[in-house]
Amino acid sequence: MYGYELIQEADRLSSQAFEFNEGTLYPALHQLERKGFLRSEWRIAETGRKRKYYSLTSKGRRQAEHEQEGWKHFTGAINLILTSAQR
Amino acid sequence: MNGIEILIDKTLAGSRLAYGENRREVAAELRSHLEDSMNEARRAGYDDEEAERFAVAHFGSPELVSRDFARIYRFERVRFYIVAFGLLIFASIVAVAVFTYLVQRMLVTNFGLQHRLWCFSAKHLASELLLVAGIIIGYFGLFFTRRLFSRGPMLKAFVVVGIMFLLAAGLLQFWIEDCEPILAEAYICAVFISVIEMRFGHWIAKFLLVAAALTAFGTLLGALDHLTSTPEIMVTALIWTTIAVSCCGVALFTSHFDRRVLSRRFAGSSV
Repeated sequence: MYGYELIQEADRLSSQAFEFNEGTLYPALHQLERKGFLRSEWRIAETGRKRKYYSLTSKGRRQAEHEQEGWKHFTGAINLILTSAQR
Repeated sequence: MNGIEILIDKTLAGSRLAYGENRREVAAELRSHLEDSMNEARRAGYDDEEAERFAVAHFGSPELVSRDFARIYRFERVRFYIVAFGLLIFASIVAVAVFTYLVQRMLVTNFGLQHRLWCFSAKHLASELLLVAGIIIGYFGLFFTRRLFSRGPMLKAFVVVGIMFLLAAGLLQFWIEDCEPILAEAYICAVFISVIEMRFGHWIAKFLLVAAALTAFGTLLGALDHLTSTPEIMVTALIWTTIAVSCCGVALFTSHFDRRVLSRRFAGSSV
Protein backbone atom coordinates (compact mmCIF):
# COMPACT_ATOMS: atom_id res chain seq x y z
CA MET A 1 0.00 0.00 0.00
CA TYR A 2 1.12 3.59 -0.57
CA GLY A 3 0.60 6.43 1.92
CA TYR A 4 -2.57 7.89 0.52
CA GLU A 5 -4.08 4.42 0.12
CA LEU A 6 -3.29 3.67 3.78
CA ILE A 7 -5.18 6.79 4.87
CA GLN A 8 -8.16 5.93 2.65
CA GLU A 9 -8.20 2.38 3.97
CA ALA A 10 -8.01 3.48 7.61
CA ASP A 11 -10.81 5.94 6.89
CA ARG A 12 -12.97 3.25 5.29
CA LEU A 13 -12.35 0.57 7.93
CA SER A 14 -13.00 2.97 10.81
CA SER A 15 -16.07 4.50 9.11
CA GLN A 16 -14.20 7.82 9.16
CA ALA A 17 -13.93 7.76 12.93
CA PHE A 18 -10.47 9.34 12.96
CA GLU A 19 -9.44 12.71 11.70
CA PHE A 20 -5.75 13.49 11.55
CA ASN A 21 -3.30 15.59 9.61
CA GLU A 22 -2.40 13.39 6.66
CA GLY A 23 1.17 14.71 6.43
CA THR A 24 2.07 13.27 9.83
CA LEU A 25 1.71 9.75 8.40
CA TYR A 26 4.93 10.02 6.37
CA PRO A 27 7.43 10.64 9.19
CA ALA A 28 5.74 7.73 11.03
CA LEU A 29 6.17 5.46 7.98
CA HIS A 30 9.82 6.47 7.64
CA GLN A 31 10.39 5.78 11.34
CA LEU A 32 8.86 2.30 11.05
CA GLU A 33 10.94 1.60 7.97
CA ARG A 34 14.12 2.63 9.78
CA LYS A 35 13.22 0.31 12.63
CA GLY A 36 12.87 -2.53 10.15
CA PHE A 37 9.11 -3.01 10.59
CA LEU A 38 8.33 -1.86 7.05
CA ARG A 39 10.03 -2.10 3.68
CA SER A 40 9.33 0.23 0.79
CA GLU A 41 9.74 0.29 -2.96
CA TRP A 42 8.95 2.74 -5.71
CA ARG A 43 6.59 1.43 -8.37
CA ILE A 44 4.94 2.98 -11.40
CA ALA A 45 1.17 3.01 -10.95
CA GLU A 46 -1.30 2.33 -13.79
CA THR A 47 -1.71 6.08 -14.22
CA GLY A 48 2.02 6.30 -14.97
CA ARG A 49 2.82 8.05 -11.68
CA LYS A 50 5.58 6.90 -9.33
CA ARG A 51 4.39 5.85 -5.89
CA LYS A 52 6.15 4.54 -2.84
CA TYR A 53 4.61 1.29 -1.64
CA TYR A 54 5.07 -0.02 1.88
CA SER A 55 4.77 -3.59 3.13
CA LEU A 56 5.28 -5.28 6.48
CA THR A 57 8.50 -7.18 7.08
CA SER A 58 8.43 -10.38 9.16
CA LYS A 59 9.78 -8.35 12.09
CA GLY A 60 7.00 -5.82 11.52
CA ARG A 61 4.41 -8.58 11.38
CA ARG A 62 5.58 -9.95 14.72
CA GLN A 63 5.55 -6.46 16.21
CA ALA A 64 2.05 -5.82 14.86
CA GLU A 65 0.82 -9.06 16.49
CA HIS A 66 2.47 -8.05 19.74
CA GLU A 67 0.89 -4.57 19.61
CA GLN A 68 -2.50 -6.11 18.78
CA GLU A 69 -2.25 -8.36 21.83
CA GLY A 70 -1.32 -5.38 23.98
CA TRP A 71 -4.22 -3.37 22.60
CA LYS A 72 -6.69 -6.23 23.22
CA HIS A 73 -5.43 -6.54 26.77
CA PHE A 74 -5.74 -2.80 27.33
CA THR A 75 -9.25 -2.43 25.84
CA GLY A 76 -10.34 -5.59 27.73
CA ALA A 77 -9.22 -4.03 30.99
CA ILE A 78 -10.97 -0.73 30.21
CA ASN A 79 -14.15 -2.64 29.30
CA LEU A 80 -14.03 -4.49 32.61
CA ILE A 81 -13.76 -1.20 34.49
CA LEU A 82 -16.60 0.38 32.52
CA THR A 83 -18.83 -2.67 32.96
CA SER A 84 -18.30 -2.82 36.72
CA ALA A 85 -18.82 0.94 37.00
CA GLN A 86 -22.19 0.63 35.27
CA ARG A 87 -23.40 -2.05 37.74
CA MET B 1 5.27 28.16 -7.40
CA ASN B 2 1.83 26.72 -6.60
CA GLY B 3 0.41 25.93 -3.16
CA ILE B 4 1.50 22.28 -3.33
CA GLU B 5 5.12 23.15 -4.11
CA ILE B 6 5.18 25.83 -1.39
CA LEU B 7 3.92 23.26 1.13
CA ILE B 8 6.56 20.68 0.07
CA ASP B 9 9.22 23.35 0.18
CA LYS B 10 8.27 24.43 3.70
CA THR B 11 8.20 20.84 4.91
CA LEU B 12 11.61 20.02 3.45
CA ALA B 13 13.22 23.24 4.64
CA GLY B 14 12.14 22.56 8.23
CA SER B 15 13.02 18.86 8.04
CA ARG B 16 16.73 19.72 7.58
CA LEU B 17 17.08 16.64 5.40
CA ALA B 18 20.37 16.70 3.53
CA TYR B 19 20.24 17.34 -0.20
CA GLY B 20 20.40 14.09 -2.08
CA GLU B 21 18.37 10.99 -2.79
CA ASN B 22 16.59 10.96 0.56
CA ARG B 23 15.35 14.52 0.23
CA ARG B 24 14.23 13.95 -3.37
CA GLU B 25 12.35 10.80 -2.33
CA VAL B 26 10.51 12.58 0.48
CA ALA B 27 9.58 15.41 -1.92
CA ALA B 28 8.31 12.91 -4.51
CA GLU B 29 6.32 10.98 -1.89
CA LEU B 30 4.66 14.11 -0.50
CA ARG B 31 3.95 15.39 -4.02
CA SER B 32 2.35 12.07 -4.96
CA HIS B 33 0.18 12.20 -1.83
CA LEU B 34 -0.94 15.77 -2.48
CA GLU B 35 -1.75 14.99 -6.13
CA ASP B 36 -3.86 12.00 -5.01
CA SER B 37 -5.64 14.23 -2.55
CA MET B 38 -6.30 16.85 -5.25
CA ASN B 39 -7.63 14.19 -7.61
CA GLU B 40 -10.04 13.01 -4.94
CA ALA B 41 -11.29 16.57 -4.48
CA ARG B 42 -11.72 16.99 -8.24
CA ARG B 43 -13.78 13.78 -8.36
CA ALA B 44 -15.97 15.29 -5.63
CA GLY B 45 -16.64 18.26 -7.95
CA TYR B 46 -14.07 20.85 -6.80
CA ASP B 47 -12.27 23.02 -9.37
CA ASP B 48 -8.44 23.07 -9.50
CA GLU B 49 -8.01 25.93 -7.04
CA GLU B 50 -10.42 24.45 -4.51
CA ALA B 51 -8.85 21.01 -4.93
CA GLU B 52 -5.43 22.46 -4.13
CA ARG B 53 -6.79 24.18 -1.02
CA PHE B 54 -8.46 20.89 -0.01
CA ALA B 55 -5.19 18.93 -0.35
CA VAL B 56 -3.16 21.53 1.54
CA ALA B 57 -5.73 21.73 4.36
CA HIS B 58 -5.88 17.93 4.77
CA PHE B 59 -2.11 17.61 4.76
CA GLY B 60 -1.86 19.62 7.97
CA SER B 61 0.86 21.82 9.37
CA PRO B 62 4.15 21.56 7.44
CA GLU B 63 5.99 22.65 10.62
CA LEU B 64 4.67 19.60 12.47
CA VAL B 65 5.61 17.18 9.68
CA SER B 66 9.03 18.72 9.17
CA ARG B 67 9.77 18.58 12.90
CA ASP B 68 9.04 14.84 12.88
CA PHE B 69 11.27 14.30 9.83
CA ALA B 70 14.05 16.33 11.48
CA ARG B 71 13.86 14.13 14.57
CA ILE B 72 13.90 10.88 12.58
CA TYR B 73 16.86 11.87 10.39
CA ARG B 74 18.81 13.56 13.19
CA PHE B 75 21.40 10.81 13.37
CA GLU B 76 22.39 11.24 9.70
CA ARG B 77 22.78 14.95 10.24
CA VAL B 78 24.93 14.55 13.34
CA ARG B 79 27.05 11.91 11.59
CA PHE B 80 27.64 14.24 8.66
CA TYR B 81 28.61 17.11 10.99
CA ILE B 82 31.04 14.89 12.90
CA VAL B 83 32.71 13.57 9.73
CA ALA B 84 32.84 17.01 8.07
CA PHE B 85 34.26 18.76 11.10
CA GLY B 86 36.57 15.86 11.98
CA LEU B 87 38.16 16.22 8.54
CA LEU B 88 38.21 20.00 8.89
CA ILE B 89 39.93 19.81 12.27
CA PHE B 90 42.52 17.35 10.94
CA ALA B 91 43.21 19.46 7.84
CA SER B 92 43.42 22.63 9.98
CA ILE B 93 45.90 21.09 12.41
CA VAL B 94 48.13 19.87 9.55
CA ALA B 95 47.92 23.21 7.71
CA VAL B 96 48.62 25.39 10.77
CA ALA B 97 51.39 23.11 12.05
CA VAL B 98 53.17 22.95 8.68
CA PHE B 99 52.79 26.69 8.10
CA THR B 100 54.12 27.53 11.57
CA TYR B 101 57.03 25.10 11.17
CA LEU B 102 58.03 26.62 7.82
CA VAL B 103 57.85 30.18 9.14
CA GLN B 104 59.83 29.17 12.22
CA ARG B 105 62.49 27.47 10.10
CA MET B 106 62.76 30.53 7.87
CA LEU B 107 62.99 32.93 10.84
CA VAL B 108 65.63 30.92 12.67
CA THR B 109 67.75 30.63 9.51
CA ASN B 110 67.40 34.28 8.45
CA PHE B 111 67.96 35.73 11.92
CA GLY B 112 71.10 33.63 12.26
CA LEU B 113 69.84 32.00 15.43
CA GLN B 114 71.65 28.72 14.88
CA HIS B 115 71.73 28.11 18.62
CA ARG B 116 67.94 27.92 18.48
CA LEU B 117 68.00 24.82 16.29
CA TRP B 118 66.97 22.87 19.36
CA CYS B 119 63.45 24.05 18.62
CA PHE B 120 63.36 21.56 15.73
CA SER B 121 64.00 18.62 18.01
CA ALA B 122 61.30 15.95 18.01
CA LYS B 123 60.33 16.75 21.61
CA HIS B 124 59.89 20.46 20.99
CA LEU B 125 58.02 19.88 17.72
CA ALA B 126 55.69 17.48 19.53
CA SER B 127 54.91 20.13 22.14
CA GLU B 128 54.29 22.73 19.40
CA LEU B 129 52.03 20.30 17.58
CA LEU B 130 50.14 19.75 20.82
CA LEU B 131 49.76 23.52 21.20
CA VAL B 132 48.44 23.98 17.65
CA ALA B 133 46.12 20.95 17.93
CA GLY B 134 44.91 22.22 21.31
CA ILE B 135 44.11 25.68 19.96
CA ILE B 136 42.23 24.29 16.96
CA ILE B 137 40.32 21.60 18.86
CA GLY B 138 39.52 24.17 21.57
CA TYR B 139 38.27 26.65 18.99
CA PHE B 140 36.05 24.03 17.30
CA GLY B 141 34.88 22.79 20.70
CA LEU B 142 33.76 26.29 21.67
CA PHE B 143 32.22 26.83 18.21
CA PHE B 144 29.90 23.84 18.67
CA THR B 145 29.37 23.75 22.42
CA ARG B 146 27.98 27.28 22.50
CA ARG B 147 25.23 26.14 20.11
CA LEU B 148 23.97 23.65 22.66
CA PHE B 149 22.88 26.35 25.10
CA SER B 150 20.30 29.06 24.67
CA ARG B 151 21.16 30.97 27.86
CA GLY B 152 24.71 32.19 28.46
CA PRO B 153 26.10 30.04 25.64
CA MET B 154 29.65 31.45 25.66
CA LEU B 155 30.17 31.14 29.39
CA LYS B 156 28.78 27.60 29.47
CA ALA B 157 30.89 26.64 26.44
CA PHE B 158 34.03 27.96 28.21
CA VAL B 159 33.22 25.81 31.24
CA VAL B 160 32.45 22.64 29.25
CA VAL B 161 35.51 22.93 27.00
CA GLY B 162 37.64 23.89 30.01
CA ILE B 163 36.59 20.68 31.77
CA MET B 164 37.39 18.71 28.60
CA PHE B 165 40.87 20.27 28.52
CA LEU B 166 41.41 19.38 32.18
CA LEU B 167 40.43 15.78 31.46
CA ALA B 168 42.68 15.71 28.39
CA ALA B 169 45.58 17.07 30.45
CA GLY B 170 44.94 14.38 33.07
CA LEU B 171 45.07 11.64 30.43
CA LEU B 172 47.91 12.98 28.27
CA GLN B 173 50.31 13.54 31.18
CA PHE B 174 51.08 9.81 31.07
CA TRP B 175 52.45 10.11 27.51
CA ILE B 176 53.51 13.73 27.06
CA GLU B 177 55.73 15.40 29.61
CA ASP B 178 54.65 18.89 30.74
CA CYS B 179 51.47 18.82 28.67
CA GLU B 180 49.45 20.77 31.27
CA PRO B 181 50.94 24.25 30.63
CA ILE B 182 50.76 23.68 26.86
CA LEU B 183 47.08 22.75 27.05
CA ALA B 184 46.43 25.73 29.32
CA GLU B 185 48.06 28.03 26.74
CA ALA B 186 46.04 26.39 23.96
CA TYR B 187 42.80 26.83 25.89
CA ILE B 188 43.51 30.52 26.56
CA CYS B 189 44.30 31.08 22.86
CA ALA B 190 41.11 29.27 21.77
CA VAL B 191 39.12 31.49 24.15
CA PHE B 192 40.81 34.62 22.72
CA ILE B 193 39.96 33.60 19.15
CA SER B 194 36.35 32.66 20.00
CA VAL B 195 35.65 35.87 21.91
CA ILE B 196 37.14 38.05 19.19
CA GLU B 197 35.28 36.10 16.50
CA MET B 198 31.99 36.55 18.35
CA ARG B 199 32.43 40.22 19.25
CA PHE B 200 33.80 41.65 16.02
CA GLY B 201 32.10 41.51 12.65
CA HIS B 202 34.73 42.45 10.10
CA TRP B 203 37.32 39.82 9.25
CA ILE B 204 40.18 42.34 9.10
CA ALA B 205 39.38 43.43 12.66
CA LYS B 206 39.30 39.77 13.70
CA PHE B 207 42.67 39.03 12.09
CA LEU B 208 44.35 42.09 13.62
CA LEU B 209 42.92 41.58 17.10
CA VAL B 210 43.66 37.84 17.22
CA ALA B 211 47.19 38.49 15.92
CA ALA B 212 47.74 41.25 18.52
CA ALA B 213 46.27 39.24 21.40
CA LEU B 214 48.13 36.01 20.67
CA THR B 215 51.43 37.77 19.88
CA ALA B 216 51.25 39.69 23.17
CA PHE B 217 50.35 36.50 25.02
CA GLY B 218 53.17 34.50 23.39
CA THR B 219 55.73 37.25 24.02
CA LEU B 220 54.68 37.42 27.66
CA LEU B 221 55.15 33.66 27.91
CA GLY B 222 58.57 34.04 26.29
CA ALA B 223 59.51 36.74 28.81
CA LEU B 224 58.41 34.48 31.64
CA ASP B 225 60.56 31.78 30.05
CA HIS B 226 63.59 34.12 30.49
CA LEU B 227 63.99 35.15 26.86
CA THR B 228 66.11 38.29 26.91
CA SER B 229 67.81 38.91 23.57
CA THR B 230 65.85 41.07 21.11
CA PRO B 231 66.11 38.65 18.15
CA GLU B 232 64.85 35.78 20.32
CA ILE B 233 61.88 37.81 21.51
CA MET B 234 61.18 38.90 17.93
CA VAL B 235 61.29 35.32 16.66
CA THR B 236 58.95 34.19 19.44
CA ALA B 237 56.56 37.05 18.73
CA LEU B 238 56.58 36.34 14.99
CA ILE B 239 55.92 32.64 15.55
CA TRP B 240 52.94 33.48 17.72
CA THR B 241 51.71 35.93 15.08
CA THR B 242 51.98 33.12 12.53
CA ILE B 243 49.94 30.79 14.73
CA ALA B 244 47.38 33.55 15.34
CA VAL B 245 46.98 34.47 11.68
CA SER B 246 46.72 30.86 10.51
CA CYS B 247 44.20 30.03 13.28
CA CYS B 248 42.20 33.08 12.26
CA GLY B 249 42.22 31.74 8.71
CA VAL B 250 40.82 28.47 10.07
CA ALA B 251 38.11 30.39 11.97
CA LEU B 252 37.18 32.36 8.86
CA PHE B 253 37.03 29.22 6.73
CA THR B 254 34.95 27.43 9.39
CA SER B 255 32.31 30.13 9.60
CA HIS B 256 32.19 30.29 5.79
CA PHE B 257 31.86 26.47 5.61
CA ASP B 258 29.12 26.54 8.26
CA ARG B 259 27.08 29.28 6.60
CA ARG B 260 27.61 28.46 2.93
CA VAL B 261 27.93 24.67 2.89
CA LEU B 262 26.22 23.11 5.92
CA SER B 263 23.30 25.54 6.20
CA ARG B 264 22.56 25.10 2.51
CA ARG B 265 22.96 21.35 2.65
CA PHE B 266 20.37 20.89 5.37
CA ALA B 267 17.81 23.59 4.59
CA GLY B 268 16.56 25.83 1.81
CA SER B 269 14.39 24.96 -1.12
CA SER B 270 12.95 21.55 -1.91
CA VAL B 271 14.90 19.51 -4.48
